[in-house]
Amino acid sequence: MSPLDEQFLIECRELTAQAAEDIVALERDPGDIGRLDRLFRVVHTLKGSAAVMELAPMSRLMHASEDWLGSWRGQERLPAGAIDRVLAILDQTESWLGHFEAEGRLPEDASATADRLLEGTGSHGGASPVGPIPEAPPWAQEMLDDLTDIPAGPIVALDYEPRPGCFFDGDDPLDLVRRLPGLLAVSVVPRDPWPPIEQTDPFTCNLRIRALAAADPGTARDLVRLVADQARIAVVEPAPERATSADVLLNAILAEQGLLLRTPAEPGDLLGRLASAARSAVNALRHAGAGERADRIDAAGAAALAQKDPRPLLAALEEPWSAGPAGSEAPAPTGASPATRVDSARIDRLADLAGEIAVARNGLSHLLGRASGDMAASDLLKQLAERDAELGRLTVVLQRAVADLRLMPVGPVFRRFPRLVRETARSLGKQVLLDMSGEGTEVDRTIVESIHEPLLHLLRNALDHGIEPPEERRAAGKPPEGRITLRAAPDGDRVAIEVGDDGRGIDPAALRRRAVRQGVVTEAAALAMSDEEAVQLVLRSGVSTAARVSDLSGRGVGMDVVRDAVERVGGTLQILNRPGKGTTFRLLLPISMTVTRVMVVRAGTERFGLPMDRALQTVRIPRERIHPIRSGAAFVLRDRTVPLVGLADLLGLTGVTGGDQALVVVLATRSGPVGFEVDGIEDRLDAPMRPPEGLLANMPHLLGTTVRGDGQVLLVLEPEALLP
Amino acid sequence: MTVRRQGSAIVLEGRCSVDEAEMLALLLRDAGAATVDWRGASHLHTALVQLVLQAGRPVQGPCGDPFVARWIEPITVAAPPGGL
Repeated sequence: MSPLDEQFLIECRELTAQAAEDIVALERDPGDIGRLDRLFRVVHTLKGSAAVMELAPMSRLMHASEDWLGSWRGQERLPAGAIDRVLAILDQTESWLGHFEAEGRLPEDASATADRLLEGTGSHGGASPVGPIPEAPPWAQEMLDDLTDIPAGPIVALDYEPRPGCFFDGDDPLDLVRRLPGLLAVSVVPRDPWPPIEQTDPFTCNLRIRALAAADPGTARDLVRLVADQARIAVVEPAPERATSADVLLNAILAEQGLLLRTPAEPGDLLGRLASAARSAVNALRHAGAGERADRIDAAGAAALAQKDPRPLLAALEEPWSAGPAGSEAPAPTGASPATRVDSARIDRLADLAGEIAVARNGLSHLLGRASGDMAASDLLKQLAERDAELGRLTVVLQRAVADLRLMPVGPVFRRFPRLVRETARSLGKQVLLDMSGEGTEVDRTIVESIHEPLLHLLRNALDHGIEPPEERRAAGKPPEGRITLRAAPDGDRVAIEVGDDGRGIDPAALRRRAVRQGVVTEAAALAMSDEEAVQLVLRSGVSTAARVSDLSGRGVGMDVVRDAVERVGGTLQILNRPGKGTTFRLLLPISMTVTRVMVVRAGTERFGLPMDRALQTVRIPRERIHPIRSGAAFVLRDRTVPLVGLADLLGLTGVTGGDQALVVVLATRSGPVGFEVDGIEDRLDAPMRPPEGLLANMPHLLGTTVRGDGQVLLVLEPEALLP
Repeated sequence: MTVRRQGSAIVLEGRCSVDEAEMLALLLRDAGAATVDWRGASHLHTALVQLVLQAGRPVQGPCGDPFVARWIEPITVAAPPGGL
């Protein structure tokens, strides 16, 4: 899936959710012109995006829907069945998006499906405005071949045939082309042969415009969105020999470092040069994905620094370079992480910080150079302390900026709910108004992703058990329409999300009886509880508030699951109960969380976490290459003897080690790399880590605990403290 | 006025919008207008660029609109330096 496709999917999913929210709101208030306009715009954008992606049936469906929505303007009420039909269209669109994500295209029957959905609306969307175009149009390739200087990065080809009447629509086609960043070539030719100037209509556009630009395809597609039926964007594949330009660049960078090292240097300057050359080469290699070679150069650089001799580094720099990641033995991390949109100002701030950190490091390099000269030790210490403080400050700011980068509003999660509430309420024969606020409240991405399920459950619960049927509400002197509130708001250094209803509330006496009957508490204990305490029983496993198990929320999933989900991200769940008047569940969540990358390994039959940031690599070592040394063992890795210990042995477990190869995780420790033999590597995860608490707090070899996706608690080890 | 006749030249100046296309077409129909001078034009609407391309008159450049100067002017007929 290309970044463009990903962007398309993210955007369309946001838009369909937005549209669903708008249509549900319109049902409540058909006269809300603002909503209708917004819905109209959303559908218009969906149409344009689908056209750009050449998903003709979807584009046509949106086009027809747009026409149909347009006909609603100025109407007192919406056409019969309109809400359900729009929701069905949105459902179909989402299902198509899923198909597109999986297979890169729409299902075969998409066009027929679109016809079926549009039946009776009087709109058909006309013929598909956009047919398929070749991946790399031949003209674009030719145009590219004519260029002498081609920048690195994606190149987009624009093929734009403005409609003859486009000037009347206010279009200025060349103005659009001029806004394409990174223009490389432009061709403007008459679409049809020019008529004599005496007969020409100056307001008829007769141009075909083609252009190449070194631009981001997404930007280009955004640009032509409003003329998507007239313009096509394709990504031009660079010719094969150009594909290696990154290699050429890399080799040039490496050669330059060699040159730097061969240039005669003042003795005081040599160390600084060595450090800088090694750093530049390592960075370039890492950037190019050549981690193995970067590691070798890093080691050679360290050796050169230690020996104050550039030769080891030069030798490493000049070893022949072969493309491709050189047999990386570590398995690649699996599992796609969800895409996030990030405010560009936050990225800018990070970029600024990266610059400041580079400046601070340069200062350090400079100092390193002088230190090898005649600088007094006390001066050196003082200056080092200053640099250290500066780097420390920048690191804190950087960490905060990165945490900010992970923040996202809860809105996208909230947006899925109005529709759910509408449909659920209808299926239960209840009337419910969902009142949402605080959609812009931001929390860590991990938290946003993890609150959907708990909120869904709480909402269903409120609909099913909280809000009474209309007649019961009337009898209780309440308006027949129930109200569910969903709000998010900052609360000190945390965020509070509340799901409240104005229903019947929880009856503490009934809950006590049920808890006793279900054997969760003894009768004596239940009677000793205050009403507030009794209400908390709802959060205990095995206690359900409903008298019957309903389709909706009684499916063996209790409130305890909600509580667990909230606690897993470091939050708490509170209940505010007013019998007869309603219940509010309050989730108090941390705004940001520190996420640690953890490698899950097996020692014997137990699973443990190892901090990924210490892991240098994972290797399989044939047993015959493991040599006994004194009481321990060691093996040779890249000309270096690395001590080997068994993780199961260290933990006093029985390992299942066997086989003719040892699976070894090499971790960085203060005394250099150490190999830890494990019985399996299972997973890598980004998980919020909690410091060890209670009894665990006294165990020095524990870094903390984290919860795996399956709810199991994982102990994350401090490898350093395990070593004998 | 952003489109006008001056001697044998049609002069385009400032921001030339689509509304100017009719006027330019009229001027271009006169065989006496030998060249188009767009050095003073800061921005040209597509409709005017299209007319200049269609008429094939020698163009006095460089166009004051950098986009047109860079990408369109090379495909027009250049007028001899210093005008006619």
